[in-house]
Amino acid sequence: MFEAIAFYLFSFLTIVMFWITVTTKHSLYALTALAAGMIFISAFFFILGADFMGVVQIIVYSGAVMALYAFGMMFFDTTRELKEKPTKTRLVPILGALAALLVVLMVIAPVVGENITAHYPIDVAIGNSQAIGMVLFTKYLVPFELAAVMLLVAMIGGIVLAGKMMDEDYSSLSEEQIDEKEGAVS
Amino acid sequence: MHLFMILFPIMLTLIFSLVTIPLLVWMERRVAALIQNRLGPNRCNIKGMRLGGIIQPIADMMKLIFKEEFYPAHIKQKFYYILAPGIVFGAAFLSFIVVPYADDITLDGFTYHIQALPIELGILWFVAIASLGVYGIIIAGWSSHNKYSILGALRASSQVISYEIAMGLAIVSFLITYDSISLNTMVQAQGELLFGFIPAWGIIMQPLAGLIFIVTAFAETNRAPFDAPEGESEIVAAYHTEYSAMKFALFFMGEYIAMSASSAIIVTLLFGGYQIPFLNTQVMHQHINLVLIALLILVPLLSMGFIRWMQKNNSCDLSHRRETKYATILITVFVICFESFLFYLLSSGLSYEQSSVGIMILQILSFAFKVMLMNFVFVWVRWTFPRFRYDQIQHLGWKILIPLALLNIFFTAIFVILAGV
Repeated sequence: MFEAIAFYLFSFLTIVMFWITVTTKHSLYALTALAAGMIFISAFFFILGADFMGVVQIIVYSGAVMALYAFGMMFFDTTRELKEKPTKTRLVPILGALAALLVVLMVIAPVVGENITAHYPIDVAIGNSQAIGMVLFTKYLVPFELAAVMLLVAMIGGIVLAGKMMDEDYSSLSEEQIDEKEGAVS
Repeated sequence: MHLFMILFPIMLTLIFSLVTIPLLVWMERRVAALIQNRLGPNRCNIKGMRLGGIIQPIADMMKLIFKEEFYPAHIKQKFYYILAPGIVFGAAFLSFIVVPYADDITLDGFTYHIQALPIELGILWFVAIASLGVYGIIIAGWSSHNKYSILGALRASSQVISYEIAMGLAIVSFLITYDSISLNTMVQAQGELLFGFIPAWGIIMQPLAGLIFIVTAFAETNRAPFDAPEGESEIVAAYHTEYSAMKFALFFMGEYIAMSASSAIIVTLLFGGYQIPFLNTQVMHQHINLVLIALLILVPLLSMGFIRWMQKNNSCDLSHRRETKYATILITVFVICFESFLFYLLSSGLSYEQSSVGIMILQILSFAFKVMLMNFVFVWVRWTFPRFRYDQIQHLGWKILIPLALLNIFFTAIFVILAGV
């Protein structure tokens, strides 16, 4: 009963939040709605009894959206009205078709998945986080490590691409030296 | 009884987070005065009762409640503008609810957790919810539409990204040490003794990770020396420049709740939580009569010391002397009642359940004492250290704390594997 109420409440909230994210023209609205949607998704994990996943959802996505906020604040002037000029109009029907397919799949899923049993059923004796740890570090060890290496490569790539002036530390220079450098650039 | 025991920890959370705010405001101002060699607020009174200045925060509160709610005309996103203080306050408040206030207690066959939200992922919950508090600051800064506010919001977000990883890594080494992720299990592990005579507190088992955690917890609360997002000497008051009356008060209270919550988590992880040194729950159960006798001796001694200190320092004129007289009578009456109650308990003997309730009360008091001590450290640091520049914060976070935390995890893991614990 309470589970059903919580599920419908949070699914409504999540859908509304992502709808705002997509449709609004204002970057503050979009980012805040995105963050709120990410946090409301974690409610589903809590309802399903996967506490660990719920908390990790909040930790990871709150940090990720935080970085987006920083860029949003630096790049957008929120006092101005934004005029959108959509150029790729072909994308809309494709995305629409994909969404329709997704809806069909979601409706079919209970019919197909009637006899599915869990490979790793929840063991009540050990906690949620221990269960995830055991699965991650036994059966899925190689994908887990591969994902870690991939993230590391992405991080190094990002630093190499973005940090062209990494050897210069402006905060350790004096005012005059900074002025000299700025003058040389401009 | 069943309902009461479930509501009791939630009530305790309310007390620890909301009721302590005026106390903390008072402590902040008086300790600041002490450090700067002046007196601080001590004039505000109700019929001559000053209580050393505790009445002052009540007057401040009345002022903030009755102030005009002012909305600057240039703000277009009113909803976000009003939502932001709520997020700061709510996140600080929610991060408090996983702290265990006392050991699990069994009454009438039910085991109750003295923890408002008894999930096993206590520490992760704290990290997740405490980081949401920064959203309030960022949304406030952005929706305020002025340059100081946006600079403050940017500083807040850059600060979060730089300390949060170090905090997570420091916590990982605690998880390895205690072999558990639940806060209550961690505190129970800290009730043991190391080599038979040192309490196995987190700060002794993991000094480096403890230090890193304390530093990052200071950064989490946005207090000095990490108050670059506020930076009142550089960017006015940054994110709360445009806020007035209760909206400002929510930011203000949110900061104190966050400070209290951080102290509670620091105490829980590093300083033995609710454990009284050398006396864990089992030991107290075995020697409950000795504990009662110790209380019988300690309470009058401490009260007598306090009364003498008060009579020496609070008797400069007639109204002060009258206040001292009333306080002395009150404390004496309380001590006599308490002593007779203890005598009654000693003569009648305690059942197991009665002694567990007594131990629970002692543990809650011990926890409150430690949290207030840690809050004092927060205030002390704020009025002693200058503010970090924001690039210094990033330097500290990325280049010093993260490598140190990684090294610490590495050595902890090697030690655990070699020792085969």
